[in-house]
Amino acid sequence: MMKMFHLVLKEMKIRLKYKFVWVNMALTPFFIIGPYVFSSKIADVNSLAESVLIGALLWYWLNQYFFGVGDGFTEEREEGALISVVLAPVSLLTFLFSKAIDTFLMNLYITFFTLLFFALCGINLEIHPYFFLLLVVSGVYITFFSIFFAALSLWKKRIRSINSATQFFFGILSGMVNLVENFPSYVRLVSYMIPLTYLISIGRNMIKHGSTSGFVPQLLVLTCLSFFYLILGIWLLKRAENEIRRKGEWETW
Amino acid sequence: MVRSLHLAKASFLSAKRYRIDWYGAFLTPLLTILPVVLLYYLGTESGLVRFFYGATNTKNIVGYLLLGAAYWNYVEVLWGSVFALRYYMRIGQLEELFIMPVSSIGYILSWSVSGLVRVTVESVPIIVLAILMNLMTFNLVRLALAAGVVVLSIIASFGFVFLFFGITLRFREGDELVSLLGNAAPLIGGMFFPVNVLPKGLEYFAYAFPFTWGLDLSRHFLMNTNTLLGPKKESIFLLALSFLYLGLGVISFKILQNRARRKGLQGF
Repeated sequence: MMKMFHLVLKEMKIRLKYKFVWVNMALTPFFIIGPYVFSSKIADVNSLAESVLIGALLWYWLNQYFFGVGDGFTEEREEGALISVVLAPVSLLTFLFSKAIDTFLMNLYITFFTLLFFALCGINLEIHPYFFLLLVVSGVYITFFSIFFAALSLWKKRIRSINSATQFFFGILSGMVNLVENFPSYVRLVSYMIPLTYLISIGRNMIKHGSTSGFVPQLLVLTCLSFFYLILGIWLLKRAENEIRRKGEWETW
Repeated sequence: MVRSLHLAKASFLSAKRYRIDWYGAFLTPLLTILPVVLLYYLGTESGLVRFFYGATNTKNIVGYLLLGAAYWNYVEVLWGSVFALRYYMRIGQLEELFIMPVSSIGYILSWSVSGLVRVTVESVPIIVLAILMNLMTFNLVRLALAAGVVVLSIIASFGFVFLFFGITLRFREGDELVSLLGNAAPLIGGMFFPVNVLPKGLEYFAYAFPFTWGLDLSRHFLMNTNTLLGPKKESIFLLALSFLYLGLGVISFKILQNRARRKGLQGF
């Protein structure tokens, strides 16, 4: 646990050196999800903008986890430092979890500014205590999902080239702008295999009804699905690690 | 110039080695506009059509978005030069770059040419789709005018590249600025809808951006959409802003590069 804490601290200290990163992180999410939220606003459908905002915001969380955790080995690999990570007395999983904690903290920062900028543009989300619970649950379960992607990316290096495209696929299929119920049944089958679908649905119900009633079945499915991806991710991570050790490819990219 | 072209060829050939990179680059612009297309088809069709027809004189929302995506592909690809520079800084090869017999402008040109070739290959399906979607609303003259607008926009884009390149050399964090502007550009440049529906602060910011006028004019020539100010005024604005940004970009690049060399380029 202490090792993880030190790694998180290291990431934060490095980031503190680069001041403009903080400006970028505060503003970028507003601009990225803005087109979807404003498009729904001009469609003149009541409460659609709020619904799209919560969907797009949670998708942006996934986006950050996929870059922070899912793509967690790339920077070290490019800089030739991955071998040091492997030699350090920290497991790859601990290394990824430290990136997840760092991403969680950054996502809280991002969420604050995104909601503030949309509020200034007249699009408000009614925030109540359960919303923070939703963010914590999202953080944990999207981390599990991202670890699966990180393992894939360690195994097949070039997967990172389709990281952005993959995030969009997951976002669209999870109902980031539209309700999943509006999709054809064969598309819905895929949607229900993505943890983000359940998080967005719970988030929308929370914002719409102001309560968490009726969310337990969804949370149960989400929990099972997320743990399934975590187990699969750990297995794949171990397999990729062993294969790279066997081939001696830690320093190749 | 010859060296720069050789470098462009080299980076194009290494890019060719990884086919998966091309799939990602081709799919991302299409996937960026897909959520709005889905908003249109799944549930809010009447509201969006009413708005678009009133504001832009077209009901062809998909064609409108595709043209926007194709245009932005060309404008933004040049900014990739800054990420290339930052990449070399990160892997510790910046000094090697600067002792090579290629000037900084040579690097910018080579990375930009390679980017333009790549984006042309990647954008072919998007451009074909955009043309098919707007087949009834343009002729060859209007196509040539739209191409001229894209060339002017590329000139303006070079202005931004020079500025960002200089900032990256001097302050290291130029890639963050490019990333911010690149992410903001589709919204404030009118890729998804006319900028006059944006909140006022953003709308005024959009007018200082040459690409807002470039995209608006391109759509006017290819789709016969309404323009914000009228084609003549917008053409003058685009021309003036393009050369203004190019001039400012070159001057700031020279100043920043000299300062960076004086201070030392070591480290990132």
